[in-house]
Amino acid sequence: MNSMGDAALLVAFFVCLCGAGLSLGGVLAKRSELIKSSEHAVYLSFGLLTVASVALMRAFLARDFSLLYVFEYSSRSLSDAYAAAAFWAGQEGSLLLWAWILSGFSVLALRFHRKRLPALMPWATFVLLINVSFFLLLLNFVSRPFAPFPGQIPADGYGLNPLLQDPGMVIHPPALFIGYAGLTVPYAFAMAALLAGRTDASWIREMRTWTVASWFVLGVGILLGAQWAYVELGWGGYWAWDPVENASLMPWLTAAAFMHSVMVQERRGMFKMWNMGLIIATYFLILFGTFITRSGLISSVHAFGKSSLGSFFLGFMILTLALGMAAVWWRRKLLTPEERLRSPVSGESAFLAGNVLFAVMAFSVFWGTVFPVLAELAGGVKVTVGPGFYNRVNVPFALILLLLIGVCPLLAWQRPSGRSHLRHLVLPFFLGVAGGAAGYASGIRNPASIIVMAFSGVVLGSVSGEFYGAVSARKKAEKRGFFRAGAAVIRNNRRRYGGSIAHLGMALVFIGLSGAPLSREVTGTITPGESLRLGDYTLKYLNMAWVPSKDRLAVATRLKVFHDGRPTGYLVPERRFYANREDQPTSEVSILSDWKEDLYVALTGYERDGRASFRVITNPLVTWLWLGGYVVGLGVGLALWPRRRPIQAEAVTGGGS
Amino acid sequence: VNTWTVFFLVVSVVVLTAPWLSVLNTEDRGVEDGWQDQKYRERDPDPIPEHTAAPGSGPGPWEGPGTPGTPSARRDNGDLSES
Repeated sequence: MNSMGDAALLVAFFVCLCGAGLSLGGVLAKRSELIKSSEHAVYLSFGLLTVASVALMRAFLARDFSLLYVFEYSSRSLSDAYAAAAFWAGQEGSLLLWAWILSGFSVLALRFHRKRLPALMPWATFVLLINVSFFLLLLNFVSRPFAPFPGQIPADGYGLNPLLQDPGMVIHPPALFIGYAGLTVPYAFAMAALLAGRTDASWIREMRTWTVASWFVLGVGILLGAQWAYVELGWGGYWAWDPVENASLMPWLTAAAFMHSVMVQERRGMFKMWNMGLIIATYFLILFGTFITRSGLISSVHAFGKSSLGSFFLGFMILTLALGMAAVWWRRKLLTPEERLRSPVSGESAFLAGNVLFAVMAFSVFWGTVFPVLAELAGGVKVTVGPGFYNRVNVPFALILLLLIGVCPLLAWQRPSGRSHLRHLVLPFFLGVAGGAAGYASGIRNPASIIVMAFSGVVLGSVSGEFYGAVSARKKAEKRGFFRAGAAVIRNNRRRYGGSIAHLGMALVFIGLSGAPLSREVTGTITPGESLRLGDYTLKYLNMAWVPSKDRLAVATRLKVFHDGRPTGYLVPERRFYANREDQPTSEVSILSDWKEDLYVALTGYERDGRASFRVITNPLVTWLWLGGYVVGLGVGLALWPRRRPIQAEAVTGGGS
Repeated sequence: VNTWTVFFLVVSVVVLTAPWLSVLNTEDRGVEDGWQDQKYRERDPDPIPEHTAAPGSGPGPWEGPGTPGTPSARRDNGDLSES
């Protein structure tokens, strides 16, 4: 089976290269059978990558240590679920997963857009196959998942990194790869639009689902990564501005800008060049993120270590950027806006402002990430860019962005928003004041946190005011009840209200983030019977126990929690020692959550006489962060819920080279 | 290179060349590929006559004359009668 997987990867590489060549040849020579062949190559490469993926998964589940990769990332004591997840724990498997997802998405793109975007499809197929070929090049010649174990086959494997043995870490990488691969599809069609000289909005309309869904799944991946860091690393936070975290945040920011900016192109034919720039930048940042994660250039808690892969990604990244910029320059005349901005206070201007903020934030994260490398290359000086830089630069921009989320939907398109629009601002204004006052009354004194509360009130006021207005009008016109009218309003404009719900979710995410500067911490070493105090909480240390299980030994401590003197529950923080990885103990934190704050306890040390060291932290509003993610998901789901629509062939009058 | 490599290569060659074989077969050109023919007609300064893309009409628009006896070959010989 391993030789079958290896062979499938090798043949898939040549199939993709042939397919890309056939696609390019077909479109240049106007030969439809060549194009048809290239489409067959898309299906074929997906089939071959599926064979390879199944073969590698079988090797993991069978603990086939004749493969070096399986030996390095699994062991006999590992549960089947984690053995399956070990597939993407290392470089080789994660590249295979990425390639497989990208190849699967290429099939879907072909199925869904072949008839709707016939002139772009061969070009997009070419770009997609070149991308899959790049991954297959790495999988065949640089980072081989089916490389045999050198020498005698061992009886047991080295095992999975204990830090990765967490449910969040099982889903986190595939979510990121789905996001990355999904955003490759709009990138491919953007390049196709440039190459074919058809820069009208038809490709943007078709790519909307890909963009929004991929952006959302990438966001889920980021959030799951944050949750994993929160419960698994034991330092008490969920975001440290680590280069690897930044790697996924940068394309998410530019994709968010693209997702909003294309709406202006759809409606007004503006921002064409900007949109091309954004999607090319998004794809560049995806490659850049992968480059810094896998090159060993930047040290990080969860990088893949030093490897030769970095130079390949660097080369491909430079090539992608250069070709993208060249294509934009070549088609610059087709990318001129059809209309001009008519007012600084209009929907288009607000979208532009939001876009600029997203782009500036993405650039600041990019700069903070690469600056240590540039400083070392230029002067041999080791520089670290800490959270202070990122927070100082990004917090003000993020606050303005939150305000724009609230204000933008209230502004008129095309013309200046006049006095009639001012009345729509009344409710958001009052809810904004109420939000800020509520924050202050609940004891919050951090200015940024109070501003977040106020601006979140503005968002709530804007969304609810807009919805209430629409429902009231329909209620009056159709003489329906409020709820039936509300359901009809949402049903008839899912895209708009899905977006509104997603905006509400983002406001909740902001509220969650605003709690970060308000956290408090105490550490201490105590014996059973003694207590630690933090604010209104008292934690009484009860006992310590050694808990053995199949693949690990845990030191578990039990604490009884009192809030304002009343018992509220128990916390059981642990330190775990895994088989084959005794030198790498992990901290299993224990958390009591409610809507106001998390009480977070990590066991940082212990003695055989029962003494234990704890880190106790109160993290306000964290629950709102996770809740916001769910609400964004609800909004995105509503916005993307499929509607029946007739198949329309692409307009033949657009662009033209 | 092992047996699987040879097997996958053979399968791949067959799958990739299938559209060329179907051009010779000529049965599945037409409705299925009409979108592409239509596209190139729009972009091609010298439009392809409608009947060349119809089912059973011989090789594709850019292949030159068809095999003897096919409708397109008869057309090239001045025989425009419907078969």
